[in-house]
Amino acid sequence: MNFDDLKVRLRGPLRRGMELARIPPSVRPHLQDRLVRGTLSRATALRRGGRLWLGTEVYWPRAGVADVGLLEMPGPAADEVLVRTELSAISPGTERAFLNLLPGVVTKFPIRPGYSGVGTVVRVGRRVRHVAPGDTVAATEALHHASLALVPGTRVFPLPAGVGPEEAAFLHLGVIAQQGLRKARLVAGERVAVIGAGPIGLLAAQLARSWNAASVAVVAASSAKRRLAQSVGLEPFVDVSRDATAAGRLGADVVIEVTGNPDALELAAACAAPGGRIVLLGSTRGVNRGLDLDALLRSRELSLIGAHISTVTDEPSPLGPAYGDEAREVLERLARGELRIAPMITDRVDPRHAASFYRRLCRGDRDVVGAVFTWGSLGDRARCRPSSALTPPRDLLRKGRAYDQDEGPPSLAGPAPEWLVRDLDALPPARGTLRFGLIGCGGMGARHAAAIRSAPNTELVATMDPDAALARELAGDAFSTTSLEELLARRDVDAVLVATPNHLHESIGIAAARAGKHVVMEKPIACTLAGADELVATCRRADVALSVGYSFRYAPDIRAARRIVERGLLGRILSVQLTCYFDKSPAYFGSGRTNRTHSDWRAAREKSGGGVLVMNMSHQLDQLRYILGEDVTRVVSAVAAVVDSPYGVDVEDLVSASCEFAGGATGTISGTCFARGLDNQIDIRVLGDAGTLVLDPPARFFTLLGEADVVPGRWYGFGRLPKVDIHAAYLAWFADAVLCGRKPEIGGEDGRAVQAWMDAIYESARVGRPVAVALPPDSVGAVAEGR
Amino acid sequence: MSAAGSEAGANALARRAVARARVRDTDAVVSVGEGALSTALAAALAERGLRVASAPATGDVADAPRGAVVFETTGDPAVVRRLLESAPLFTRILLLGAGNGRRLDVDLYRTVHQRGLEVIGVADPEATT
Repeated sequence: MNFDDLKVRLRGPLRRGMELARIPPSVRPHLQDRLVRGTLSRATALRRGGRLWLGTEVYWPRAGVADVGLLEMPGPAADEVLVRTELSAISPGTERAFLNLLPGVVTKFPIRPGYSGVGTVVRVGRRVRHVAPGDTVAATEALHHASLALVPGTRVFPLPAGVGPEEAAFLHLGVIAQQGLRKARLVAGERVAVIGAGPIGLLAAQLARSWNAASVAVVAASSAKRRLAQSVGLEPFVDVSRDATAAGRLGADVVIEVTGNPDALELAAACAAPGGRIVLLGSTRGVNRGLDLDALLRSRELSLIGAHISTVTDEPSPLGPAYGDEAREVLERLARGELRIAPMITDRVDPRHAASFYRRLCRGDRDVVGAVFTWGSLGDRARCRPSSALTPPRDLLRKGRAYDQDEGPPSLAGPAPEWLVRDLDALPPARGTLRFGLIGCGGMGARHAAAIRSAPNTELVATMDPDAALARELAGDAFSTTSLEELLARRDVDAVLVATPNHLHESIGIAAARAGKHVVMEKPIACTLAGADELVATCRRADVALSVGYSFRYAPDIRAARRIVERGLLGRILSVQLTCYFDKSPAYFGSGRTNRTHSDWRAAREKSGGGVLVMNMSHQLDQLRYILGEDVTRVVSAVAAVVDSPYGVDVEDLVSASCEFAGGATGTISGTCFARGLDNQIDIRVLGDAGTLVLDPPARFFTLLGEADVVPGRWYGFGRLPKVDIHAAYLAWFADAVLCGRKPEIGGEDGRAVQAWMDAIYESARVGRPVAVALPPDSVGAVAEGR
Repeated sequence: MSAAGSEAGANALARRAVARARVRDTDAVVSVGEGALSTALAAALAERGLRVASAPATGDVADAPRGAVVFETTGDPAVVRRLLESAPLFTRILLLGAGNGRRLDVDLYRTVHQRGLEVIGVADPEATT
């Protein structure tokens, strides 16, 4: 039965309830698992007297996802022991392979990982005699990564004196290594090579040493493991990545292969002396292809011995003793100090951070060698508390609650975390007033005049436009003029806001800077990259602030998106998709959207700098830079002007480009201004290796990583975002930066970077091949946040 | 090589295989393949007082008991693969037959590793290599 079947079969109120819950597909396996396991646990608990034990567990609902949740467990059966876990050992290689579903792994999710640990006996079944409540024990196989474990008595072992909990936690790995050596029939005086320097490999090597092998060489393809091998007293170490022939000189009688890599078999054969025995101790995942058994085994009379731990049972076999005897022998060796484990433990992980840890592991962090979950990090209540099988299951369908160790399991879906939505509409405190002169009083000029008046720390003191009536209209009681020089000469103008046709941006901006005025430039910064460079340089020389009006950065969803990426919740950014739809009538090219002025500058490339890319999408290019914190380094593109217009338009109305970001992500951007009925629809998606961000409504994100208030494997919406006058917010923060002597958040360099990106798109379309973006050498990959 | 020489070679290889097999009196012994080598093997085992059962030519030894000792004399990769896939827990498999450069694709995890098999190469004592 799967959850979809269950939903289909439900009728009436129950079914409607399920639909109302809007259970996303991503959590259905989790819920199904909870329902099925919870029911079984309660039924079993009722048979055993009704007591139910609650704890916390790590589990993998599906490949690539690690989660932490509520564990419900009945009391022990007659042959079982209930253990409160202190430490559970993590086997990095095996767990990485299973969680990542590496080739050769066949398994079913959900999985409860873990198979060895140490803890305290809570309850024992009536037939268990060798341990009692309160005993400290090592437990294997059924002891998963959980704060509570029901373990068969045959897998529970009292700790001998002198064995510490961290060492005891690795008991099962010690048994695996020891039974492998036993199957190798190792005798004193033989030479041993161990391929692989993970926990089992290093345990096998130490065991071989204590069995009086003549020599024990650890073989690995990484010199980083050398120090680790030395830390447990193992020499020599053979780094085959540096000397491929070194293995052939070992002449080992016994070779223990622990890597699980099918390709390591040839290396193992090379390490072996004629007549040698190769033990497959690591779980070889994947098919060995093209094996020549004559060359591999027959010609040198080598033997290949399988040593899977599942062949060691509660009964002795022809190849070795029972599991319990192996385990007790390993514990005795630990007590005698023949095996050292502590130096191998690289990570002690709070279970609440399991998702982050597994993410590291799955990304191939080879620094993780031995690791343990420290269940003592949890509070007593989250770790082990009695309950009743008759108590209704809590938390099963609870939504909107983040995981908390004292309150139970993670929610199934979450509202916007507090950090995501905090202060998205914040404005700066009052620190004075920046007085603006507005240059250009057309459609955008009108919008900026309103924004200057709305912002709490700006004032409109003068306007200028060649059309005196337009200037007067926006000035209100303020000064107005048709002369640029007159406006720039005014002492009461601290800054200018340039909202003219694009081809005038550069010259007016330079004139204003030379007049000592701070400059806010409507986008784009200029019509050419050379013009942008000149303007930036002039403002720098004049020591005035320059900002380009990419005010859409102040949209709450964009700022929230930046926070998600900054916190690393998407992991490594791999791909970005931007699609922009605009619906411009033919009249747009004669009078803009507002019809406030009449000019065809938007239709001429030399005056506008471009079409939909410059006029509209430049905002979104800046947003992508802002969200990712990176610039684009290379593009390949196509642009086209496909719709006829009475204004003789020579700018594009369709653009499509593939872009490489400095951090390695690849982006696809496309946009058009003839999307009838789809005006101003912007779709942005950012895909990371650990999460996805979607900014087309409803804005939301998914992450495989956890935080205090973010549960991995869930989608989170942005919730109800505040309404923000982005133009006023932009001007307020610009004014605050100038008044405080700070660099504006959106500087001239940002405008230049967008210009360089757009120029590269146009150039690539012209020459028909990829083009590098002309970024200043010191700015690649760095998009600063000044606020 | 003459017929007599070939027979002598087969006998030597068979004796070598039996020596490497560590066969106990209680072990079930199975042979895969027919021909001079198989005959020589039966003779070598008989010298030790052991009887050998014949497995199907396909190499399927699923009916053999746990811990059986299986002598593979064909060298045919398809037969070896079937043998590995069907061998019961703890089976010892001796490879006598020459593969003559033929190659094999096999999942060693599901065969050798999980079932605790031991695969033992037996070289021709008269081979010059």
